[in-house]
Amino acid sequence: MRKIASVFLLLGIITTLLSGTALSSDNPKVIRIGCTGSNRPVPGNTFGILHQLHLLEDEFKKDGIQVEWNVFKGAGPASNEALANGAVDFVTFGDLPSIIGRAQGKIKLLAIHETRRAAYTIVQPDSKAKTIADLKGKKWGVSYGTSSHLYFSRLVDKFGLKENQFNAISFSGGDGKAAFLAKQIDALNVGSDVTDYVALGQGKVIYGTDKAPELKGTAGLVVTEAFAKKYPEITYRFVKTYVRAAKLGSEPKNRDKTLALWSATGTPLSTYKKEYENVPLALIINPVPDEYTISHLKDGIKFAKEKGIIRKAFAFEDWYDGSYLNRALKELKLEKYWPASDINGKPTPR
Amino acid sequence: MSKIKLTMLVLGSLLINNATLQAADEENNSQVADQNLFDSNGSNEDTKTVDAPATQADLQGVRTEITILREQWQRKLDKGTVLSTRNANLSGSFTVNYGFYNGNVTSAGVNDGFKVGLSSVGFKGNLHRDYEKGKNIDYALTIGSDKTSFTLLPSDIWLSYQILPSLDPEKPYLKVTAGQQKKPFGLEATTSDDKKPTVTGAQFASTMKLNERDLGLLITGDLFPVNDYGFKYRVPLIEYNFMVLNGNGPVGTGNLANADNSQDLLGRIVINAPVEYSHVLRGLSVGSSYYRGKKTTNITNNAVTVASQGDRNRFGADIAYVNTPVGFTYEYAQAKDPVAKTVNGVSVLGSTNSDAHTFTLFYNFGEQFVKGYVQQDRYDDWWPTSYQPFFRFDRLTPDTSKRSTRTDVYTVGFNWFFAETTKLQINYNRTFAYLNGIKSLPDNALVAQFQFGF
Repeated sequence: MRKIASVFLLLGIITTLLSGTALSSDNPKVIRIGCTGSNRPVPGNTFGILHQLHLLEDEFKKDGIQVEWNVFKGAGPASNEALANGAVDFVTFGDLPSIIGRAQGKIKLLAIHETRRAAYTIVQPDSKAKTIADLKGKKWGVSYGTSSHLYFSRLVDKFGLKENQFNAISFSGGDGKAAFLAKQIDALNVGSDVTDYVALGQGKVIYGTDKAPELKGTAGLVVTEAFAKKYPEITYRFVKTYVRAAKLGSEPKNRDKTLALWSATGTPLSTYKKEYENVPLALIINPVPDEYTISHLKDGIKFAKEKGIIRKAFAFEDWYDGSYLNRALKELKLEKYWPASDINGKPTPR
Repeated sequence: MSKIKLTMLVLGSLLINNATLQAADEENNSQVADQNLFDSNGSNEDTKTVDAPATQADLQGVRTEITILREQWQRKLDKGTVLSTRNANLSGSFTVNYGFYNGNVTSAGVNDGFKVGLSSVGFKGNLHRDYEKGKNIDYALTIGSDKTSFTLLPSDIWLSYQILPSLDPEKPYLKVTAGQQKKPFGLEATTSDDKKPTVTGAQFASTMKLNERDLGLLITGDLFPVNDYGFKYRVPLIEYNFMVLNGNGPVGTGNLANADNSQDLLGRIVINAPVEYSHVLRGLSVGSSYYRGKKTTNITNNAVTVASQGDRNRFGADIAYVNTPVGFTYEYAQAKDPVAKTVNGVSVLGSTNSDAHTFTLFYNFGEQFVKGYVQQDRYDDWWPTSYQPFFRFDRLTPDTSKRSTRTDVYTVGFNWFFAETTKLQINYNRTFAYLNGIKSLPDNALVAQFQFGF
């Protein structure tokens, strides 16, 4: 018995030694960031600016804090998995995965990362389908657990249809594209890369967020409650640096270069230019929640609960912690900088 | 006094105002610095170049480049590339270790030194891909070495077909696999070597011949899946396996066909906790396995040998909790094997019952087993370094009618995952053999092993 106890004691010592790195200190040794890319280790939007200009690295260099970027291939679900396993501190991801992440874990929404994320449904070039209703019973590629899932659910709902009237097939990564190009499925949900399919004659758009802006997606910046509680000042400095990057990307004079920076993600510059034609980037990377983004996320929570995607609903107000963002906006004198939009996405006074 | 107070108040306000102004200046300066940094990162000329319309000469240049690349690719393909009619993934797994042995139980006659352990190389791939429903046909062909002579023998030779669609995670899966394959009995025998924490497997897996492959037809399926889309996590409430097999072990040891006309049967059922990813019970499962077969045993009386068939049955029960960062597994296995026994001077067909208990407790530091985390876009050959200390208790009682004769092995170990497919394992085994209740001196073995693959 004494020997068994010794074995456990030895294990305990090893465990303690290994966990030494995680012992409490004033500052973290590393800030771990999770995000999604497009086949390159470069994120887009405000994170794209932060990453490429090394703003966070510069901000925390004097404290000896390293910044670790983790660009997940598995999009939102991979971010949620990393959060659940305590592998990351800050994450940006789309509406549905972040809602699921909040429903199951302890994360706080700090700011908005992207608004008006486009989504389209394409069909085969020779398809006779003209409307969403024409796709009833057809095979439709949807990436479940991502923003594409929420778009799909809302889209069929918009036309008074039910999800089970379609043969929705969940794909991940490039599998959906492979299946569509192999003509094994009839329709596929895509994002701003829709222009590639259309330009190459590989598919045609049957519906999209250009016709229904209310179906556009919203992405957020979240932090684990544990990190924010343990390092409130570091969290604040992170958010402040994030706001500085968003400001740079929102400036009209920086537009061309911002889009060029984003194209380092692997999405062609031409795609960004077409997607954001006549749209100020300040609308896209506006970090400040407004009626438009708040209503979108609230609807998302409600929708996810109704569809059984999350088991327990929660209040947006309990999820969003604007204290860091408000302080940063105040210190940077940017309280009125970003335009606000009403529930329909129209400009409204802030 | 009031004048002093007033003066201090004025001075204080001036200082505060000055500090506020300074802070505002700093903020303005920092935003100017940000803009300068933004301007200096890549040149505006680059952006202008990207914006400039392409000319015919540019297009011709691109066409030429593509033509050259195409020719280069074709030449490589023709001259220096292994080709396959169908998709084939080549993989391999190897071990090399150094051990210190001291004792008379498992270490008896084992010299200190280097050893090459189990090694395997093989192909796995897809013979038909069903994009619509995922009713794919897959294959595997693996060759592995045995531990003693390093003779290469066929390991996996199978063909599988997804009977039910495998693309919809909300529906149950059903697959049939024919050929030489692992027997789906318990945890130890079904876990692949790269997932096992220990250098040496549990005693019962080899003595009950559960870790060896066999020829047969396996049906694998599940029921009532719970699907957590937000984490790409699917867990079926029930998993089941049913196998009809020769029961004669793997091909290559002289047994190319069945040894008798009877087929052995194996069934396994697992109940998983039907919970979402973040639930504390994720990774909890309870399983039970049953194997029913026959084995020929020679009975010799008066110099006449008669081949008699006796029951060779196995029963197993297991519970596992594999979560992050802690986990444990416990497995109980029971076996009944035919033996020749002497009763009143006459050799008759009898049986022996044996049983075993194996308990493993482990703790993970690092993200080695976080599937979504390790799949990252990176330019370098990155992999999260992870550590796994563990403890195992392993008891085998070869004859349950003599419980005081058994072997207990205590293992304390440490796994260091320092590259994607490579780990260093350090195991300290302390073995005690009990003979009729008398405990042997401890047998000690310290083994350090690299396990690597591609």
